[in-house]
Amino acid sequence: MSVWYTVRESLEGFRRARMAAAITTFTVAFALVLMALVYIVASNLGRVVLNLRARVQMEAFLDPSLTDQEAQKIEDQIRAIAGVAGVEFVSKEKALLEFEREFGEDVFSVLDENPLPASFRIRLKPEFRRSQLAKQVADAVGKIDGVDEVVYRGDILALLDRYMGYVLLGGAIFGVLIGLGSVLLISNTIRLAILSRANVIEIMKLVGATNGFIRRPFLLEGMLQGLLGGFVDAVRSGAGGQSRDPESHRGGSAFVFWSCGSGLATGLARQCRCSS
Amino acid sequence: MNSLDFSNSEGRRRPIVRIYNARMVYSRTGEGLTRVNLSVDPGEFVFLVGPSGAGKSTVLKLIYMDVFPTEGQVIVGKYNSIYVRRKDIPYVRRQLGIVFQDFRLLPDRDVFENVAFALRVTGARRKEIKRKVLRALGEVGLSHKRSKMPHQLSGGEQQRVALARAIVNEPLIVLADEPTGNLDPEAAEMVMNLLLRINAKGTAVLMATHNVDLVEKMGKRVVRIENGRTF
Repeated sequence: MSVWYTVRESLEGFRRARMAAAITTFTVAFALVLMALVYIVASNLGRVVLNLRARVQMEAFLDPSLTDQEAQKIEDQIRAIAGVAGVEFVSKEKALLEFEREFGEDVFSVLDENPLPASFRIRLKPEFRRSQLAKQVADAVGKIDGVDEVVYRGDILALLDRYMGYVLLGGAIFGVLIGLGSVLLISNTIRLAILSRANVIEIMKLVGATNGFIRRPFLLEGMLQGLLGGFVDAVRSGAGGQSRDPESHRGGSAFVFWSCGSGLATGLARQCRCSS
Repeated sequence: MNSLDFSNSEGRRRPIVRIYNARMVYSRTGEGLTRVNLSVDPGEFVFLVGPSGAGKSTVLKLIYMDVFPTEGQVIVGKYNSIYVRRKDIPYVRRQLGIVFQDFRLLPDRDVFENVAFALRVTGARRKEIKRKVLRALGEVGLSHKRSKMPHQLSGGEQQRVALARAIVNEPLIVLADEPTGNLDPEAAEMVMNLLLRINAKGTAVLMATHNVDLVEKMGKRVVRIENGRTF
């Protein structure tokens, strides 16, 4: 059997069953829209959480009597602690400048000397941006001689830790439900398309067509419908302005994967029906 | 063309179709065949007659291996129902031309494509397909309607297209299941004449019918089937 025959038959399939092809295509597109919505919500939520965690900084205030050299030693000790990604020294002068910039007040108009202590701003490695692990780092930093106090927004981390579990679980359940719904929607549409052609398949078998001969055009037709559904969805997401978002590139490849997958599923389902 | 040699070692021609003591029960209804014996030689015309529900269609189904006997065996050309593999069944059917009471044309293709389909499945070349299809349509007198869709044809014309499809592959035997059952007398006679002409050119025909008058008029070999048993 020639490849040309398979291609021509699969394209003819669209013409012969226009309505069924259109319904399948738009069902795939609709299912992809649903999946894309879940994907976009989940990825944005993930980014918000990562940003919140990244914003949580630890600040270790030093004993005001320490010299810069002693402070330098402390920096080395802090860097050696597991979970520390980076350390920035904030001298008394810099702290004063920041204070003035933030509050717009000249400290020396009220006090005779700079009351602000030098400090280290500590960035945590991403995997340590959790309440329990951050506390371990804070405790370790607090034990270093010359560190007076360690301050960080542990409450935000605790809050994220406590509720993110529920949010993720809810999101996963929602995603699974939407995914399941999409699969059911597509498979039911395919089932109807197959039923409408069961008679034709039966006749093809009676004149001596092998299952492969019957399958191949259906397989290709199914893939084309899947791809077309993916294309319709891609046009929709492009029109919606999502293409400006770099995340949508990843989303785009997910769509292509999905559309190919659903196309294959369409064809394979038909293949199963043929060989029964 | 079939390249099978139907001569045995003694030079006698072997039957194309043989059914030995076939018994078959439909699991759903419990009905079926009790004991069927049948043999069709090359070039022979055989009527399979019996009342409705006697098992005529089931005998044909045994031959095109849509169903299999629970006991006994069916031999079609070189294929035996006991040893045949599922993937061989299309090749069994390519040796047969099958015609049904309800025509069973592909509704979404024109007359030419309906006939051509039986050749396409064999991987025939385009030129060969065109030549053979036009010849088959010529034999049934429908060359001029090759671009029509099945629904644009009368019942008799549809059955003639089905006949063209059945003979285009130059089969060993044409199996006809009540081919005139849905037709008016004039169209039925035309189809009957075509079957006789096909047979006269050397193709065996096994025709199932309950029309006893027609059978008696033809003077061909008759196999009777009643309550799932051949006589």
